[in-house]
Amino acid sequence: MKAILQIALGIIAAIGGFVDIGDLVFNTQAGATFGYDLVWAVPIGVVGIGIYAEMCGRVAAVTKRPVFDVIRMRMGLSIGLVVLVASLFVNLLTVAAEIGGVAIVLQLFFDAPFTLFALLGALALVAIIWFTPFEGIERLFGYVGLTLFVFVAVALHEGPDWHEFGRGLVPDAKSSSLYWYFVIGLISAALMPYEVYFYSSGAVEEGWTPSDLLVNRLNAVIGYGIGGLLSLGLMVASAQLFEPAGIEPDHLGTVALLGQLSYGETGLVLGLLGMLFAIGGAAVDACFAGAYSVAQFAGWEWGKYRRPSGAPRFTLAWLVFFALGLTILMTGIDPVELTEYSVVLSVVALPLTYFPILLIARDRTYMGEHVNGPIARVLGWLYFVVILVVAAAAIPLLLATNGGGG
Amino acid sequence: MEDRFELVYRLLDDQVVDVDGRRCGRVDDVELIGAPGGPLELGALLTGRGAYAPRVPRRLRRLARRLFGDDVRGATVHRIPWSQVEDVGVTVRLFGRAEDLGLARDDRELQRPFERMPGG
Amino acid sequence: MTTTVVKLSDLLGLHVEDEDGRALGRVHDVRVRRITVAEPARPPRYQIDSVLVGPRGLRVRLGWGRSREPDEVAPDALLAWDDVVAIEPDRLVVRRALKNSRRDRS
Repeated sequence: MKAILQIALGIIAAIGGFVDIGDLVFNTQAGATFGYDLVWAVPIGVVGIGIYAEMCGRVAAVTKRPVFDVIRMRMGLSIGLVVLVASLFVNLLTVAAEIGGVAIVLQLFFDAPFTLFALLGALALVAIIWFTPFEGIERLFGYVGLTLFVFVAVALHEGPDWHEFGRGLVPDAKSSSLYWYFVIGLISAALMPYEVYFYSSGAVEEGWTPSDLLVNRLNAVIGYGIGGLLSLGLMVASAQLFEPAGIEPDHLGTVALLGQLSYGETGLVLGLLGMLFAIGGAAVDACFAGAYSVAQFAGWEWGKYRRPSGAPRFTLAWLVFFALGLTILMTGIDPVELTEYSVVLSVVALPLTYFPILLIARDRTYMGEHVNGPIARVLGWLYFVVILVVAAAAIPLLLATNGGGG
Repeated sequence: MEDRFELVYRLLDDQVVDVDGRRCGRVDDVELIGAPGGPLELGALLTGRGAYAPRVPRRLRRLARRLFGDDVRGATVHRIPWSQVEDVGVTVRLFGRAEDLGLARDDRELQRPFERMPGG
Repeated sequence: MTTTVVKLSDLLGLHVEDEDGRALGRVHDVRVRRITVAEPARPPRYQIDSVLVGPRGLRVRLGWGRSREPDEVAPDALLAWDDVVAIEPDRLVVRRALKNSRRDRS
C-alpha cells in the first residue's frame, strides 16, 4: 500500500512538473494566434517525451547509465564533446529563460526591479537545492505546480468549442510558416532535452532497478499524459479568451489573466503560483541537467545524494550554471524571447542525444530482456524521424517567421 | 571478465569506480604494452583531460591541446596499471582507493571547503 | 629492442592496407583475448587479438550488428593481429590475400 502511495506521489509530482516557461509561452501564443488549429501538435509532443523519457528511464534502471554516460560511451569522446557543448549551450539558454520567468512572476506579486528578482529568485532556488533532499525538491515544485490546473478549469468553464477542437485535431497542410513555426515550438517545448537528462540521472540518484520499470512506464504514460492536459488547457483557454479579443500574450502576466477572467482574484493567484513553481522547478531541473551532463561526461563523482562535499566539482558545476544563467539575463534580453530561442534551438540539438539512447535501448547486450519491445521499437524509430524533421525545419522556420514575429 | 572483448566497445570511455564505489574518472585511453619481441598486452588505463587531444580528429588536435592541456602524467593524465582493475562490467572497478592511485584529486581538494559549509 | 607502448588512440582511425597497398578500411576497434586466468587480487592478462576495420566495422562499433546475437561480430571486418606486418604512424599494413581467407564462415 505504501509503495502504491509512493508511486502515486511521484507521478503527481511529474504532472505538476510537466510545464515550463517554454510550454507556457508556446501554448498560449499558439492558442491566441491560431485558436484551436494547433491542438494536434500537443499530443505529438507529449507522446514524444513519453517515449523518450521511458527509454531513458529504462536504460538508467537496467544499465545504471544516465543519458550522458550513454552518450560518452556510445559515441566516444570527439562526437560526445560536440553533443556536450551543444547541449550545454541550449541548457544554459533554458536556465536563463526559466530564471527570467521566475523573476517576471515575482514582479507580478511584488513591485521591485526585474534584476533584483532574478538574483533573489536564483538565490532562493540555490538555497532550496542546497538544503532539500532530491525527492523533496521534486515534490515541492511538482505539487504546487498542480495549481496550473486552474487553466484547465478555465478552459472547461468557458465551454470549449468542441467542433473547432475537433477540426484542430487535424493538421492543415497548406498553412503559413508561422503555423509551422508554432508546430515546431509546441513539439519542441514538450521534448526539451534537459527533462530527460534530469529524469535519467534522477533514476540513478534514486537507485532504480529493473523492479522500478513499471513506475518508469507509469511516469511516462500517466505523468506526462496528464501533464500534457495542462498544455492543452493553456492553449484552449487562450483560444477562448485571447484569440477573439486579438490579445497577444507576450508577457507572462497576460497568461495569468486567463485565471482571473474566469475565477477572479483566486484564479489569478492560483495561476501565478502554479507558474512560479512550475518555472522554478524547471530552472532547477535544467540547471542540474547541465551539471549532470558535464560531470557524467567527464567521469566526475556526481549526484545530489552525495552531498556537496561528496561531489564538489558537480556542485560547483550547477552553481556556475546558475551564475551563468543570471549573467545572460543581466544583458537585458527579454525572457520570453530568450525562451523562444532556447526551445527552438533545443530541438536542433535533440537528435544528437535521442539517437544514442535509442541505440542502447534496442541493444540486447546492455538491456538483456528489457530491450525495446514492439511498441517502443516502432514508436522509438518513428519519433526519431519526427525529431529529425522538426530539427531540420526549426532554424529555417525561425528565420522565415522572424523569430515568431510573423 | 569475458574471454574476448573489444576495447572501444567495452572498455574505452567507461566510468572508473574505486573500491569504495566512488567515481574517479573515465577510461580516456588504453595503453597496450609489448615486451621486446613479444605480443602487445593490455597494460594500463589512462584517465584525465590530457588524454583528450589524441582522441580528437588530427586537424583539431592543436585546438584540443589548448583547451584540455597536454599529456602531463600525474597532473592532467593518470595511469592506472591493468593489475589494479578488478572487473570490467557496467563500470571499471578498481581494487584500490582513488586516493592511493592519485585519482579524482580535484574532488578531494575541494572537499574540505564544502565540508565547512552548513549543509555541505 | 625496447618495450613497445602503443595507445589505443594511436590505432583508432588508422588506415589499414595490405602489402599490395589495397585499402581495407580504418581501424574502429581492437579486440583482446585472455591469456591467463584471474587470481584473487589480480585481473586476467589480455593480449591483442585482432582489429575491427572498414565501414561494416563502424556499424558494429555503434552497436548495430549486435542486437540479435550479442557475441557475433561480422567475421570479414576482423583482421587478426598476427597478420599485421607493420605499424606506421599513418597506417597499419597487413599480409595480402587476407580477405579471401576470411570469406568462408566456417
